[in-house]
Amino acid sequence: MIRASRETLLTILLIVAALAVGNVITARLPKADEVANLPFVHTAALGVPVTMRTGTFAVTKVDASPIVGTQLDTAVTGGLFLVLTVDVTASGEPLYPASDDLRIVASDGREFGGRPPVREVCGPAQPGLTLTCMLPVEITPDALAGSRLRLPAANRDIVGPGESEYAEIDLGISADAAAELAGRTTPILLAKPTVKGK
Amino acid sequence: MTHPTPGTPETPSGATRAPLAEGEAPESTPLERVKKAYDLVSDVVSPKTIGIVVAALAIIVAGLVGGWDTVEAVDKDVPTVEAGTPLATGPFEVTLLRAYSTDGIKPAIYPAQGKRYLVVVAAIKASGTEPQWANQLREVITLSAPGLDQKAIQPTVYRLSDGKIAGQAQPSMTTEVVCVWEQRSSAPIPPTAQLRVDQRSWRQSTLDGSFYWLDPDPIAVVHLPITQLDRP
Repeated sequence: MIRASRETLLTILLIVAALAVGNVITARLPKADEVANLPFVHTAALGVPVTMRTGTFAVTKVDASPIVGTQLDTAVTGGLFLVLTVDVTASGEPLYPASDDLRIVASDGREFGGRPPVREVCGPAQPGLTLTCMLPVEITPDALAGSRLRLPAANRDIVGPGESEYAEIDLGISADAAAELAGRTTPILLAKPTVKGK
Repeated sequence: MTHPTPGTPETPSGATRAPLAEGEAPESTPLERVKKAYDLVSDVVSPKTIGIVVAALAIIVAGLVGGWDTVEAVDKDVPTVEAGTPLATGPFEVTLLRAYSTDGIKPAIYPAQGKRYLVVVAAIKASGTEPQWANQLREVITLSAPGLDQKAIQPTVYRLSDGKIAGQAQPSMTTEVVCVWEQRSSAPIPPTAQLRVDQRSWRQSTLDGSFYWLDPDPIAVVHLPITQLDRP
């Protein structure tokens, strides 16, 4: 049997302790991949333009109805369609805003969105020209108060990672405003995208 | 205890044995016996060849005792539940409500020659906190009926509220949808729609690393009486 000296035992204990401390520190420090993959978020409010790499976006109006339609089609929901009027100004190249990828995020974290059952395709927005679009999102009335729009800078590619740059826009819907929006019943006609000033 | 005297052989356990008589060979270990046996044939076969022969014998013996026989799949007992029972399938909570047969329901489903439609009305609510594609309902509901179009064995899913193709089902929001299967009009209309409901798991695919609803696992069977619907 090897008889360890006091110094040897102490050395072993110190090494084990140092490894344990190092492990804890390493686990708590952010990894390079984690930092590189953090989303790039721009915050804004209703009516305030936000500039991302693909263009400038502003939500100018919020409306709601259980019935929305275009000239040719109508959709009805048991919940509510939140209709956002959005101004889009592309920078650099023509842009189709990510209308299928946007989400209305409720205060409790629920996300609503995806391709709506009826829509007017928003785009292409040409560089330097502001295009106004109406984007419907199907939602439950209890998710309106305190909700915000998460708008990606670009549409998600079929392959590859998801969009990492997006705008978080506070829609400014208070509890009273949410109740008022939930009570609206007038059908909303989705206007075709129009260039501002035309 | 006696200590071994010099020159007395020791066994590996440390005990001593009597010295060998003249002409007597020391006992060979099992390993030495195996080596001796291999030495008899080492000029003919190599260890690799011996390994191959042993493996082949193992396969043959396994086959002789039924090791390669076809194994019948174990039928899992899938419970039958009443119509209107909410079922957690993974992407949705699904409640199967009623079933119809029809030649068409305008403007969503137009009559077509040689075709009849079997229709199931269901209520769905996306699980979790994000929207789910409503057409994933096709992956969790299977209809058994004669004469179904095998090229379109999965249903088309429409929204009941407006007849639109069902897009995304929103979280915490129950949406009534209509699942439509095509059936040859020459086939008999079954008295009931036998629907199997599967549950799927959200996991990473081993093929491309993306996440999908995979691994269908039957959780319930629902029988819905079919009502004739005359609304072309």
